[in-house]
Amino acid sequence: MTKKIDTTRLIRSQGPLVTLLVMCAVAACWFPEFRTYDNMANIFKQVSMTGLISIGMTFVILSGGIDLSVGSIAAVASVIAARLSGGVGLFAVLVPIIAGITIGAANGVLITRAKIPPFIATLSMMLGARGLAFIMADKGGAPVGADKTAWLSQISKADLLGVPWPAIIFVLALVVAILVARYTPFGRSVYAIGGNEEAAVMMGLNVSRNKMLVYMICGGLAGVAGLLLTSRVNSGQPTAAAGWELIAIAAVVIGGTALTGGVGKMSHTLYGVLILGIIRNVINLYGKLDYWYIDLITGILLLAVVLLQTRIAGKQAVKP
Amino acid sequence: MTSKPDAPAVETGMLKPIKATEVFRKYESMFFFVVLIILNAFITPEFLEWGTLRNTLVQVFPVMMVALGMTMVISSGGIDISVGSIMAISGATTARLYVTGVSSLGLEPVGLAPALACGVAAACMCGFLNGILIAKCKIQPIIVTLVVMIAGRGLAQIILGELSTSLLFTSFADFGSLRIGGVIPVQMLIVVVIVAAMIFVVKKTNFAKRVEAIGDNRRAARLVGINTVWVTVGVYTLCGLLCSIAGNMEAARISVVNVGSLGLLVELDAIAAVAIGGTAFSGGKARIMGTVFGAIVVQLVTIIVNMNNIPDKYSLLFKAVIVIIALWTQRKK
Repeated sequence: MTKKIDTTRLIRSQGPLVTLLVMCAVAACWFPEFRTYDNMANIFKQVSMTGLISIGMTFVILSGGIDLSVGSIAAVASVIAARLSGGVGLFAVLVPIIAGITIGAANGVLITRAKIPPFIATLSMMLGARGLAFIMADKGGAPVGADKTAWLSQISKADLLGVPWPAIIFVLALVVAILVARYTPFGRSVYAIGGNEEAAVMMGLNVSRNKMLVYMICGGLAGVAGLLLTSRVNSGQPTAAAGWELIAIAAVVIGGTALTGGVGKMSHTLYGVLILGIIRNVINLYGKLDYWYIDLITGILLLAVVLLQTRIAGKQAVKP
Repeated sequence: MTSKPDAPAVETGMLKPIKATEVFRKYESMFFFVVLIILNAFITPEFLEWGTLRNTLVQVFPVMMVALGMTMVISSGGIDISVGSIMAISGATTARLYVTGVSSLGLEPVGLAPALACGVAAACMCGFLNGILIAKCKIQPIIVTLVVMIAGRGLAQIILGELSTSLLFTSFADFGSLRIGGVIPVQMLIVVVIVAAMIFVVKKTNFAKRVEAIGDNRRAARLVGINTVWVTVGVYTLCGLLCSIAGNMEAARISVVNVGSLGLLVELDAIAAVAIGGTAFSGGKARIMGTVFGAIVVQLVTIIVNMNNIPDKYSLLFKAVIVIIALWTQRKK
């Protein structure tokens, strides 16, 4: 390793953290409300859904793929959860997650068996699953009301020692994902596949199976996000979660994971998630900007970071 | 991507074995077209009447325009999912200048021609920006256009200003429902002109050959001296231009600009049209006529859904399945 690589590594690894700390400092000086514990808890609660998806998206992007269908999967899970919320609680929780995993598996089949490029396969799935969410919703695509008394809708209101449950679920999932990415054969395979797929095949890795697993994990976590969404708004929303794929991709990339695959850290996705969460929080606290600006700023930030990555890393291998 | 050998080694005599799958791949769009026409003739009431046919041709207009631009983009090995938002941006720009003006800049409402020119210019700018970010800054097309797709609608809302989300056109709306000689909708005329122009571009100009070369092998294209950056920028700008035609004509036809719905989900229809039309998604030859039939096929699916009391929401699912089937047949052996 030469020194030059070390500096790029330093920027890659510490850039997101520095950005996050600077943003926290600025926001804390600007808005006194920002500093309260309630606001911090609220930020974690808000980012928990897109955060869960970002975890799955990190695996997908590390493997060299992309998943655009996550928002639609969350919508499908949300509608299913609302439909089942009146019955047995266990089903209302399990079935939406299984639905997410199934759609993820369908993505995996299209990508590994049919050899359709990931962005096209998951784009089709993004639109197809959105249609599915509408079909399962009430007449005319109206939201499905959830049973307000069910314990499902209590998840997002309850807290454990002052920490909201969605935040706990997100952080737990993140910790597990960090361990999986770092210490399990599956996690290492994902890096190997993303780094060089042909080499991974020659090393004897089962590329198809690992990729299937990656998309299933991503789908499953999107299902959990849909579940939390239903719990939060007390209804199954077929139109909700549109644009979450952008937020998730942005969080992963801002966290320093390369879109070309194989390079990045699961733990740094947390920085990306929090940076976007704070931007959203600050825009809300400021109160004068439309919510349109959140998408606009997220998008511009994503492009800026990708640009920075391609420039700094000098990776001309990014194929346009 | 990888090169495609034409397998000329076995070409010994006049009799080259014809494979059914190859024939299907080549005439896939025609196949779907005929099947859907026959299907529609049987199950859709009043399908074979002039009114229905005319409506089909008018409604297919935005998809056709966008799909033609998408064909060139995909031929260059890229993708553009921001087309719907670019339609909205273009329509919003025209509407703002034509109907309300920009009071903060002291700009009174301008005439139709300058407003339209600005609307077209705004869409071309978006396409240009896509192209620069993709070719010059080397960011993947799917990421760039995803950002423009999602942020673009916000931008369109900002352009349209604080008023309502919809605006009524006056004399422009008349143009949108104009019938030449009282029979032929003006959209048909525009389609014929643009398709003819696109066929000319693809068959006769060097530009299309360069695009194809870039789609086949970007590196090789650069090494033989093709300016890959500016050709790519040109492709996305052309796509933006066609989006502006689609956006403004569609706004004129329904006489409102609604940034939330103008061009919404058109990227699926356009990608489906191109996939059915047989242009390879790994880049390569642009098949204009394939896309034309592909767009009509997509519209026929919409008509089956709309006219047979199948809830509209199913059409998303159908079209997603069609894209996947079309790509499945395209995949490399």
